[in-house]
Amino acid sequence: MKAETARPVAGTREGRKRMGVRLGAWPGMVAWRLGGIAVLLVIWAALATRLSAAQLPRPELVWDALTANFSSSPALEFAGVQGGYFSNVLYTLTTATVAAAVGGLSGFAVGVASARSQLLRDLASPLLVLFAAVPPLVAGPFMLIWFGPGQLAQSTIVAFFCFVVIGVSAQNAASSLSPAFEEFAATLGASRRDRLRHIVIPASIPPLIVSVRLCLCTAWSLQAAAELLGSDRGVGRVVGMAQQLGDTASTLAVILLLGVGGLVIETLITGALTHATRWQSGQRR
Amino acid sequence: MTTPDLTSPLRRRRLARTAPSPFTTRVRTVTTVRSLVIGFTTLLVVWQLASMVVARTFAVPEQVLPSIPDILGEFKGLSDYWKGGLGLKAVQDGGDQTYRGAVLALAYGAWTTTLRMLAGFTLACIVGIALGIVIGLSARLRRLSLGPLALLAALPLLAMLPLFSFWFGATTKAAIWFVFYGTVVTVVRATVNAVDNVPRRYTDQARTLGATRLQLFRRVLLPAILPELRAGLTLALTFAWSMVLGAELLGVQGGLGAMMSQAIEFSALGRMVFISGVFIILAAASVTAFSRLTGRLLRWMA
Amino acid sequence: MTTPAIELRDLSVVFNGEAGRVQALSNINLTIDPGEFVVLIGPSGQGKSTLLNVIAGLLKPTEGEILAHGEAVSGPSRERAMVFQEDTVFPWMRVGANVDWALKLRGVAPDERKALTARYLEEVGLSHTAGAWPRELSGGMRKRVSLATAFAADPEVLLMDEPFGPLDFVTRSTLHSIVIRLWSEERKTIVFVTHDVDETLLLADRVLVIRHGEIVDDLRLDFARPRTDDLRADPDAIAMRRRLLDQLGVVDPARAALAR
Repeated sequence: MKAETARPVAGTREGRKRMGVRLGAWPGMVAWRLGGIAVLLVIWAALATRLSAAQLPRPELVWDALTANFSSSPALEFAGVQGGYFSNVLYTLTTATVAAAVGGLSGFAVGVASARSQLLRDLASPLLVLFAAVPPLVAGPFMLIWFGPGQLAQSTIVAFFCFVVIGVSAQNAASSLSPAFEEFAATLGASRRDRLRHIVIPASIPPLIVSVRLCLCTAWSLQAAAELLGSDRGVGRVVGMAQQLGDTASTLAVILLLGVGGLVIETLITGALTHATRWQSGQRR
Repeated sequence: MTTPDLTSPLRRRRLARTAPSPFTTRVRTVTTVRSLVIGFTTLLVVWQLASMVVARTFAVPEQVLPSIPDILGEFKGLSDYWKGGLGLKAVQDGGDQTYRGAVLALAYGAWTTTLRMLAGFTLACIVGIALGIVIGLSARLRRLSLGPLALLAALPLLAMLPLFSFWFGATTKAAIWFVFYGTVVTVVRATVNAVDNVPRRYTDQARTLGATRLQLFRRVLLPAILPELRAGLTLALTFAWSMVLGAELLGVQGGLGAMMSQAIEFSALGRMVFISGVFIILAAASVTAFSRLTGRLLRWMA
Repeated sequence: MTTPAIELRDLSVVFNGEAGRVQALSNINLTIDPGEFVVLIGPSGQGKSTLLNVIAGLLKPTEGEILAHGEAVSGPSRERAMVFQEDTVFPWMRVGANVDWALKLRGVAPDERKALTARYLEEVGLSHTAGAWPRELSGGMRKRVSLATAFAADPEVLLMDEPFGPLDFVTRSTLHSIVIRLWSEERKTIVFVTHDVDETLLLADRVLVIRHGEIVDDLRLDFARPRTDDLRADPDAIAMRRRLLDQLGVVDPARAALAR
């Protein structure tokens, strides 16, 4: 292990004296990322030559499966699923994002409110204390019973997860805010409402960005898994069908498509949040 | 006589709770044992009231919202999941529903699930931390890993279970690899970030003291990344529980998740409450145990 | 006779901390006239900040009354703006927006706010930073933003809780002159908490020494203004400095050696 390799790299931004490296401006970043994904593809291709196509198909077979079924798919049509991979991925992504937004926003509201009202904090504690340590997926089966296997159950599972994750982080963020900010504002004549809007809420957002990212990635995952348990469309439905036929190429194609699409949505949302909280240190102007 | 020093914000916040009725600005809420008692009592009362409403409006109320006594009464039914042994005949072979059978079924399921989770998680920690340090220390590898890691993290992990079942069958092996796959990316990312955030002055200081590479690694780098790694690993631990539960719900045989999935089929909500209760206790206990364990390693921080 | 800016009657504050009952302030009676520059000095942790928090309305006294311009204090108000020791510039608002928010809370019309923001920032010498984020400023500059914000609130009484504590000597001197200038221009009442004797001599009309939760000394300083660093050589000032140091329990090592 060579610790010396962590030498300062040319152009390390002044003041950021850490082991890390400067990641560079965005054209370079994109090039490095694409390069990394190319390496991943090479590793995959190498692995695939030693396994059967059903176990791990070569990348080009997955690409073929993707392009052949992108906008319409005979196999899906035969099973009564409308559209191709694209429309099914889009369905999963949009449904999950909407559910995540509903859950996340209500989680934020409850989290912040419970940091300011002891009664609310007491009432929210079964949810926010328990599920801070326990995967909220355990609530999924109950949603399935209560709402039946279908879109409502899927969305509730996703929304519940995001509610808890954002709720816990928002409560922590709002509770750890230095009281001096609010006291200063109060002596400037800010009412409770003013302080909530101009101090507590803006100050609680930056610590949430990591949680938002986690929520979004998990949202697609949960949505697709719930679809596996019974749905007439979506990624989960496509994966379930393809894998019944041993069609690993199609499974990987639709999963990768969801991954890439998810990454785009995640980048857009966290990018917007990062821009909105650019007042924090560590971000450039 | 000493008076409290109000200049430190932390001290001030602690005093805020005990101060003689502060004005509205200083209200700071905390979660106490009292909160949990109030919260859970309210939850139970609401559940019970709702179940009484449901009992009047639904045809099969115990499949929508059973009352608390009904749930408690269903405990014995869990012995259906005992496969026999230890001198107790399985219910499917004509045995009776017993409390002992129910406890055995739950314990065996918990044991299976926990072992699967632990195996996958441990493997992910070993591989992930090693890989993360290698990547974190090299500028090139770090840049190169960004794209693949982001992509792998964005894949719908839970929906990939059919692949693992296909590769390994609906077995423990599939569950372990599934847990491994679901957590290793998180561990790698956490390690890479932790290495990236080690202040340069630590390594510089150690080098001025004449530390060798190995010493630098063992005495400086490892302790320095631990605090941040701890948070990442705790997250990965809850992921591991999610993955193992998902795997068992979606087809892998045995364990709490498989019991749950049978209970879902019959809408046996009472049984589901007990199964998820055990799962919640296990997951919460593992996080506490993990934090105790790593806390010992991090005593220098306090 | 004018109404006092601040009047405290038989004021006591008791904390019920983990260590049991702590009497933070006992039986304080105090009248502060409008326009006075009052400095509260005392060893740390003996009640100065508690007293200031009570005047601000951030802390409710256990017993006694607080009147501000004859009216009972029931909570924090714009009439008693406070500058804290902590950095309280809101980092999520640009520098100009920090000052602007105080004006908005004061109810100034939007079209007047821009000019006023510029004026207050100019007073503290920060006109060029209106568009910057607070994190881009140094600690001393951020303290100047806090001052501009507090003055923009246009309070009748300005409360300052060891505002310049963690800053270096040069920065403190700059801030002292800014405070004195703003105070003399705007004729505010200022209550200033510190444990620094030199700062006290430079700023105060009146010094209240607080020890063990009580006011143990009430002194007037009538050194001519503007006061400069030369005050250190003034015999009266030296005597006063010694008296205050004694009150703070500082023992001059040289004198202690002589006494032995």
